[in-house]
Amino acid sequence: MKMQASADISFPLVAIRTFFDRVSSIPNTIFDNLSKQISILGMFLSLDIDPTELLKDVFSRELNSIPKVVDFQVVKRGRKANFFVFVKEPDWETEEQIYTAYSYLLDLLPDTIDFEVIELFDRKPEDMISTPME
Amino acid sequence: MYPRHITEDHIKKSEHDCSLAQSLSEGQDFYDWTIICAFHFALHRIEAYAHKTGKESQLQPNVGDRESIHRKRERFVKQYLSEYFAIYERLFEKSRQSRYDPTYYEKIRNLRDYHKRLFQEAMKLKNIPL
Repeated sequence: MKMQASADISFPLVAIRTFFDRVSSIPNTIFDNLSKQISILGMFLSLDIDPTELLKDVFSRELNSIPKVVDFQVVKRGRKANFFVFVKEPDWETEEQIYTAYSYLLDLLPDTIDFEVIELFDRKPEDMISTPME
Repeated sequence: MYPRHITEDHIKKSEHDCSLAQSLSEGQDFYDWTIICAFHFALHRIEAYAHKTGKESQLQPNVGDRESIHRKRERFVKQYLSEYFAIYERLFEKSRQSRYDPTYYEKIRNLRDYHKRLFQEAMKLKNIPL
């Protein structure tokens, strides 16, 4: 299901949490008959697989719904995924939405992601390189 | 390795950083350093809270730890000071860009209202109970 642009960014995450709560209460659950996305999520949460696909599926959908997000990229680094969110310039309301989405993601996937919001101004995403986190 | 500090050390340092951020914010040209000082003010308020509540070990790196100090602090804020999570992230990101991007201070020069708001929001961390 393709999510429409919406201010309610919590919707898919609520669904994920509900799904996870239910699955975790059922021993030996088999995910074969579930949809692809839920399957990826379930496999990640239950079998500890690479989270990159999950991140792309879930978080990119959140970011796509924020109008002033220009682009985003996911770079896999070992077991972690670096998320780069590109915006044109500082914008309070846009950042509020981005950090709210990131906050939800941290609840679901602690220790799995690194995250940067990059202000482009007159530059393009391909002009940017990652910088140290500290 | 980091030297041990106590709550009062971090409170004093946060007040020092706050004072400098205030002075810089009143000038015309140092928006980048205003942000950096505001971020360090926030950082020391959070560290002070961690010490005050006996949770400081959650902010300290362990040998072989893959998680950066920033990520530890970020998760700490998320868990215990969640109402300040967005402003902490914002300060961290702008501070990082101010330090590493040599053109950032020029690019933000025309965004005075934004950075005035950023400084004012940062000052809300004075409300963290210490």
